[in-house]
Amino acid sequence: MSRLIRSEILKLKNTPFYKVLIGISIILPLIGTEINASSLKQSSWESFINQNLWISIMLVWLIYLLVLGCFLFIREKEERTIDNLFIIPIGRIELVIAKLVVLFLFTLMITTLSYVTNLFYLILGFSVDGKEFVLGFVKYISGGILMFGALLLVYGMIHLFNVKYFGAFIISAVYLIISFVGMWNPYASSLLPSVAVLRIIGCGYQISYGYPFDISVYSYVLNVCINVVLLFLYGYKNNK
Amino acid sequence: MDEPDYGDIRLFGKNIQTQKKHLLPSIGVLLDPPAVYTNLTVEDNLRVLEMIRPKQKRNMADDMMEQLGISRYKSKKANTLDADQKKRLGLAIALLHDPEILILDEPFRGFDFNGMKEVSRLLKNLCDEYGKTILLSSHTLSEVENVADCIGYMEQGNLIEEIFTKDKEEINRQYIYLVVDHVSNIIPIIERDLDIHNFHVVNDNSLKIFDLSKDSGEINTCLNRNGVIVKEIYMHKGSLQEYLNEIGRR
Repeated sequence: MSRLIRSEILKLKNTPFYKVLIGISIILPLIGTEINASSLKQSSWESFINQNLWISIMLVWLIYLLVLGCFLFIREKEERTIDNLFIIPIGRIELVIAKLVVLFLFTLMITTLSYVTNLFYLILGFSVDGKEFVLGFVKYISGGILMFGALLLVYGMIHLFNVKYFGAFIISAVYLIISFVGMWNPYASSLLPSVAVLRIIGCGYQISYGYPFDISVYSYVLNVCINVVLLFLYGYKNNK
Repeated sequence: MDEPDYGDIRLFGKNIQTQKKHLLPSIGVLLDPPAVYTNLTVEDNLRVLEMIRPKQKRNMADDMMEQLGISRYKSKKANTLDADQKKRLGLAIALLHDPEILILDEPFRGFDFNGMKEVSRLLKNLCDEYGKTILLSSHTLSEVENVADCIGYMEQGNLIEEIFTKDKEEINRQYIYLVVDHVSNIIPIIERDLDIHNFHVVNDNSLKIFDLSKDSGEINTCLNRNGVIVKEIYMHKGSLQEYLNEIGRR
């Protein structure tokens, strides 16, 4: 499995994903700073990073990981390199796991880098002690990991429907639109996995939730479990 | 990789559908067009697969690039390769793990004349020196004829005819081609007067004479003497293409 994961990372060489990851990580705090300067005016490190985390999860990380996930899963079929893998033979389940691990690693990278680059904007005058810094980091990482879980639905559908890039784009677009629109409905916001992430990590301000906190947690966990099972079922069914 | 509609496929006496894990590592495949990671260089394309295979000999990628003449392109991205170079990379991928059986889809496509000869030499070498079994599909009949010990002619998914090396000799031999009004009239004449018995009736009007003890002039003279008008008579060398065309017409 480690060889497979290393090969998946090598397959991303010369793609723009690394550069975009670095770019996003630098730009996000800049956006946060601009918002802070013009309107929200956060007064502490915790509220500043909460604001940036909100933007990161609902806007940038979501899109980045959707695009990366679609690329990882669909590119092999489009370029038919998946046939070279099946001839080795590599099982479908193993391949799915390896790609999910790479996606997870990228999630960790983007969350870590985004958090660390927040430090550049200490020029705004926030002070931060070690404990606050660590807690903030844990929040970022948790947010990233939870968002990764929320996106399993999209990766699962890409697999199940065996879509190409256009189909994946449609699925991703629908997911994003439902997330953004649903965020402003108190009942949908409690149930939608991507919005539930904000609530679970305590970053869901300005969003009203019609159901109790537990419901959001159950909804999220159920979503993850169903999609993990579906991904494995798909792999098992086709793993001949 | 596909499920058969009926029947089974056996390699080394084992059913490939039930023994995939054991049998597939013995097979190398060249797809058409070759399946490569377009964002990776030639070298990285090979390294990816070298990394994945559990019992892969290390540094085979370097050997393969050398053998197939793509070392000088190793830092070139796969999406910038021309058809010849891409095909060589595809062959390198197929050979990377030293398989016993090679399945090649259109291995000659994309190569110029010298490239085709190079590939033919490589395939013959793999077969003769290394004992590999090669199953290839191709429309380049001239190279197939040079390389293959057994040629299967297929039409719409059905195997129509198998031609072995000894058959090729017969197909490629010289003959005298004869066109007359009615072949049935001349058969007794050539058998009686010319003692020719080795011939093949193509249709009601034409005949191939494989017995070259009499030249076309003698045959023509004999038939004229017997009142037969010969419309065409010439020496011809058979070819696989011609033979397959005839099969197609049947």
